[in-house]
Amino acid sequence: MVGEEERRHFAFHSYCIRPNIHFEGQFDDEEVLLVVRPHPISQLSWIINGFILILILILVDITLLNSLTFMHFIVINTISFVLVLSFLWFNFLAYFFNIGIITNQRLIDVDYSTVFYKDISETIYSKIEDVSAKSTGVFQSFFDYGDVYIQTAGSDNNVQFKSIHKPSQVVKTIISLIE
Amino acid sequence: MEFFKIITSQESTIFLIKTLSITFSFLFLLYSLIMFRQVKIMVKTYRVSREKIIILISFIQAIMAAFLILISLFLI
Repeated sequence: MVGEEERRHFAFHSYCIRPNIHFEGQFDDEEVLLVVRPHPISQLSWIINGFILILILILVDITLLNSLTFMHFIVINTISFVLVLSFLWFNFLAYFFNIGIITNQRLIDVDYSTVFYKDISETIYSKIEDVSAKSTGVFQSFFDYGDVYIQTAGSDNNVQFKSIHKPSQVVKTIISLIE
Repeated sequence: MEFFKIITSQESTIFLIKTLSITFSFLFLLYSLIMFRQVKIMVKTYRVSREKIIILISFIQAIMAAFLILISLFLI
């Protein structure tokens, strides 16, 4: 069970066992057992887009090298470079802080769909009715990531962990905590 | 004809680029400041050991935005 495994946590890992972290609203006797975030492979789209933007910038530089004054060249490149870095940083923050927290008392899903949209869902184990995992496609099967759905009783919000690493293991962990 | 010459002259082009750069830089500064505030909220929600690095990078982004305004004002 996760609580018995030794601590394994690196800052940017997508599957952190007993990490040394604290979250807002954590109770004094509440222990964080597992923190999950989307698998890095699922973030490839914005990483590749960032590289493409840098390549485009280089190509534009080569094309316009003789058409612009030195000052204009510096200004355009500075603005473009800052834009690209901001794009990468924005997406990194959305990835890094989009987490699922499994404690000894409850499940918490912190969603930042974009950086400015925050959605926190939580549930205690006694309210969980069903836990399931879903991995579809070649990438998800090969890299072992997928979605975990936690269905809660009545009109309470269901909790979802999207594109997380080892979804089956997470389901097992949650079920062991329910029992 | 005179008007057409004025709006297509090099000075007008530089003026247009400068105006757009300053406007964009100012909007980017606003965005950076909002991002910095939002990052502080995010770090408060989920406290990690490297939160200072994350806050620092967001702060540097705001500094770069201010730097862009200066560049737009004085280098174009």
